[in-house]
Amino acid sequence: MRLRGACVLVLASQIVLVAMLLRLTGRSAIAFSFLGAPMLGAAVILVALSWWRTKEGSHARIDRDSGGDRAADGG
Amino acid sequence: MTGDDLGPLFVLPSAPHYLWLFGIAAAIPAITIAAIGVIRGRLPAALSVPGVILIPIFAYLIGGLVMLEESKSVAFCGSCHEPMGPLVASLQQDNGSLASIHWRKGAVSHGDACFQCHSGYGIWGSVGAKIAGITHMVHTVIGYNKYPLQARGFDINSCLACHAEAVSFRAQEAHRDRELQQQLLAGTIGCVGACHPDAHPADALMGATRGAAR
Repeated sequence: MRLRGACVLVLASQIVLVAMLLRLTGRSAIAFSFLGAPMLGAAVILVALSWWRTKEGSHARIDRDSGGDRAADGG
Repeated sequence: MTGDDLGPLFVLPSAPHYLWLFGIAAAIPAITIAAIGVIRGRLPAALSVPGVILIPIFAYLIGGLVMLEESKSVAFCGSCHEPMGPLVASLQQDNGSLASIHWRKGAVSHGDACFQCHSGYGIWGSVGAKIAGITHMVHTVIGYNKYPLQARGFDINSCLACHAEAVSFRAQEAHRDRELQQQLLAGTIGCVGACHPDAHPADALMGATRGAAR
């Protein structure tokens, strides 16, 4: 869900960028700076969070599994 | 009357920039990968970081460079109808303002006249002009523009960069006055006002709607 949200934000920010590159006016520059850039920043944060959560989850799973193995060995 | 109307002699050779094409080229894979992510809800591990972080940021950096370079143009400044439209329109009129005099004499490039006069000397002059431009964008977004527009702390190095070495400028008795030079360099007085005409006509400083209503 987080990754999908990040992709939506990246998509929107890139569309703003392309619009600005094709026709540079004050309006498109304002959209690029104050709309597109924050959306891209938010997308990067979401991806980082998603990556961090996945990493945390996999670490917890490894710890749980190795703990279980130790218990099995001890038993 | 534009250069096109007068014949090919009056049309300056264009210097096209292609940097924007690199921005588009970087944005296309970023859009494709993001669209796959939106549709499928997940991305292959090898694509997630480059596709959602690295390529879009790279495309944005190129976009930023394009914006910094192309925003020097008079057309860009004039694209904000309020408050810049009347100022840019007044350049072509014979209204006796300093900006109009420079424009009509061809003393400033018609491509980036605003930037030439409103950026100080050297790299820090350009940085200062860019910061001022971003401030203008913020003012436009939040609707904070006080009319009539007031010039604050105009950098006389913008004038001196072109005029300081001109024979006619050096020959002027007033410019040689040491006390006046000190006052000018200290910023207590400026070039315009007492000695030279205002940079822009008063009605152009009232904005598009207010100026038209007058």
